[in-house]
Amino acid sequence: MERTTERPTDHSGLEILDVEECLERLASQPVGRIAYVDAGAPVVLPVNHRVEGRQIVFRTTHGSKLAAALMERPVAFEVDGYSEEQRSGWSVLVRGRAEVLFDPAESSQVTGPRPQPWADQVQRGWWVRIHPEEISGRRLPDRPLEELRG
Amino acid sequence: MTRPLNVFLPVADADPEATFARFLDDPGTWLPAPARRAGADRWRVALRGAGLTRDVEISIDGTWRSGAAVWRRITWTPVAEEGDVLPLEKLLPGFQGDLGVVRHGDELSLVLAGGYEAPASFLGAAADAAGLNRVARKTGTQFLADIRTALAEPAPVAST
Repeated sequence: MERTTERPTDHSGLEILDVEECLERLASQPVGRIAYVDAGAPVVLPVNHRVEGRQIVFRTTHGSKLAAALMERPVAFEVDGYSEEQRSGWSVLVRGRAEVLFDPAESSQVTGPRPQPWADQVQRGWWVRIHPEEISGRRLPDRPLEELRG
Repeated sequence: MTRPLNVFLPVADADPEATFARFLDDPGTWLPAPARRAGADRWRVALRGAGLTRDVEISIDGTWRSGAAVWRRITWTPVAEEGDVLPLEKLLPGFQGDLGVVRHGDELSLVLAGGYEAPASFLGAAADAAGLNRVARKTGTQFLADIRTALAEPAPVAST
């Protein structure tokens, strides 16, 4: 996943990831965090997801995530990775709307390995899809060893 | 402070089209009986839950759709009764949110999604907050169960 070409940087010096690399990194992690507003207050919760094209799908059950998706509310979705040793890391942020896959035929079109929820104590029979309206990512590259040794 | 309340209730063996049609009808025909009209879009209803029955004034707005769901904006406020020894909001919290009928494949569900108002004094009292949450959840579940029953009944014939 590491690229050798030089990337542009943002105002704080972080490398800007292009959309394709953002999607690759989104797909590289089994757990992402979905953020939304529930009863007027922000909530962030982890989900097991997978990437379908440019969309993110996950399974859920009755609760606030499902309510947000049923009402097609705005959501944010984030994955990240870091190296404490290298003091480096990356994050990808997706902003868009959640929606429920109501049509069984549509949810059966979700291909590839299904997102299998680790929290499998209850059946998570509802599929939620996030339609991205914006995808962005940043990377703080590994530091040279001599810099880390200070 | 607003606390989230999301309650789901499956509606088994229902005719989806008939249920949606009933839900789009006058709420006075499917709110828990006896629902007494208290204004243009307001009804006085007795809510049950957690061993408690309280009168509330319910306001219901017009419908809106998302995906395979139909929603109505709903708000209820408890009505003070003679002999109340506790502040009203500690007996049954007010609620603001959305009431929906959702079609998922062959299944229908009723959904109540929103938040109830917890008194600020409850923030530091975990036991009280848990008790109020239990009352809110039980009341919401019973409210949906009563609506489920009403929606399954034949629509009342309009008087001429």
